[in-house]
Amino acid sequence: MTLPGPLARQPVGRERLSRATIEQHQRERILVAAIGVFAKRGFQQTTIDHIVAAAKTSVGSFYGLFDGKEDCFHQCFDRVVSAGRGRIEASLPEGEWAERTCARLASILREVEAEPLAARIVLVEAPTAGPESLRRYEETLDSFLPYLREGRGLASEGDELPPSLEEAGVAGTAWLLRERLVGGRTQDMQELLPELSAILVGPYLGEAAARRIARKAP
Amino acid sequence: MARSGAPAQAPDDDVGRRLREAMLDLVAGRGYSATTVDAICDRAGAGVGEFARVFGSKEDAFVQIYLEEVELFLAVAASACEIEEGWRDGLRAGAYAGARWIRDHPREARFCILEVLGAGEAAGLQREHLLRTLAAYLDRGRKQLDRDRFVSPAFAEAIVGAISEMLVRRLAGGGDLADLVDLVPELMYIAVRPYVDGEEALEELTRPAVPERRRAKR
Repeated sequence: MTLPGPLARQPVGRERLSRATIEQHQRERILVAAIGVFAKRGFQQTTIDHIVAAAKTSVGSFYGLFDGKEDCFHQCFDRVVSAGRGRIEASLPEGEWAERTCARLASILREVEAEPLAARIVLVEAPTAGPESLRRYEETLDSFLPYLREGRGLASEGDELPPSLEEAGVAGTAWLLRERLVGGRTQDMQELLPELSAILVGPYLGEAAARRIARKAP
Repeated sequence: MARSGAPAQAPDDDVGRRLREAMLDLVAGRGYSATTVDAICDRAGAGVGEFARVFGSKEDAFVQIYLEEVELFLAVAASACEIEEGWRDGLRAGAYAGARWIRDHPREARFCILEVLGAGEAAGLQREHLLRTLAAYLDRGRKQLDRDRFVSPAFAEAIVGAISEMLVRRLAGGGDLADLVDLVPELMYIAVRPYVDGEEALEELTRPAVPERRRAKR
């Protein structure tokens, strides 16, 4: 028999599982259920009863693990970002900046296509789920900026480019992904790759070159 | 600046005007979710029944006020835009007029740019519609393109979405948009760069501001 998640690492037998292990398992189960509920109902329309019912747990257990709906949402957000980032970073090939940028984009698009509900948490719900969620969302987008700014070194007019160029590129990318998620059009996400590459790499190397590189992305 | 937008009902309905002003004040000051109908009515010196008669629900009230403010903003930006002959000059004139309107209406700007994000589905749809309207104008830039250059319509959406996100982030971070007019050259660079060559786009960063037009005397 295969035990789920953290339980799999525990010895099977008469030994009691630690309280921390059980809580971690419960937390995981609630977060997985809550991601689905928040994504389908939207943050505003979701109640703790909805989450508790989906996770097949009790309100008491929920409050033993989370301070409330907002806290649960923040933990969902962190879980999705952390897992997605891990998979994306692990998939990146060696190469020049532009190739790696296009490969990173391709990987993000695969994530959105494979996990649209999780992607909704980050790109659709977080910006509208209160100030703390918005802060986490902004922080996540900001984490791409230093990497993108490396592209300035490749542009002949790199020193003249306006400081908010990368912020606009990341925000525009997030916007297009959100449009697809809100419209329920998450099939064939890779068709966005040439456009997104042109938005993010184009300012430094030109749009045509960015599209050419995107075509070779893994 | 004198207001020209019609309130929710007949202009002589003072209760409607007071409720509208109270809602703008409270939502901009404490946020949409923390603003209750009771608080709006208290501030306006009106009854909850009067609120219901004038607006219906809090969500309906938000949408109604949002649409009125957007109409004012668009009227100012569009009239500046229409004076100019070319797409790019029109875009620049509209951008300066719009930025000045936002600078001069911090309360309304916060209401329409930041608070709309958490004000329910109907408000969210209205916001999307506004951004698509703005993107449609920007997309006219594709007519300027040389034959060997390709820009997809998604670019205009991404740019408008990006600029909107940049404004949200400034407001959400506790800042204001008092310096928005100074940001117009940068935003213009970001907006026109896909449609013109790099050197031309950089010209936007050093162009003098479009002067503010005096209102015509009646």
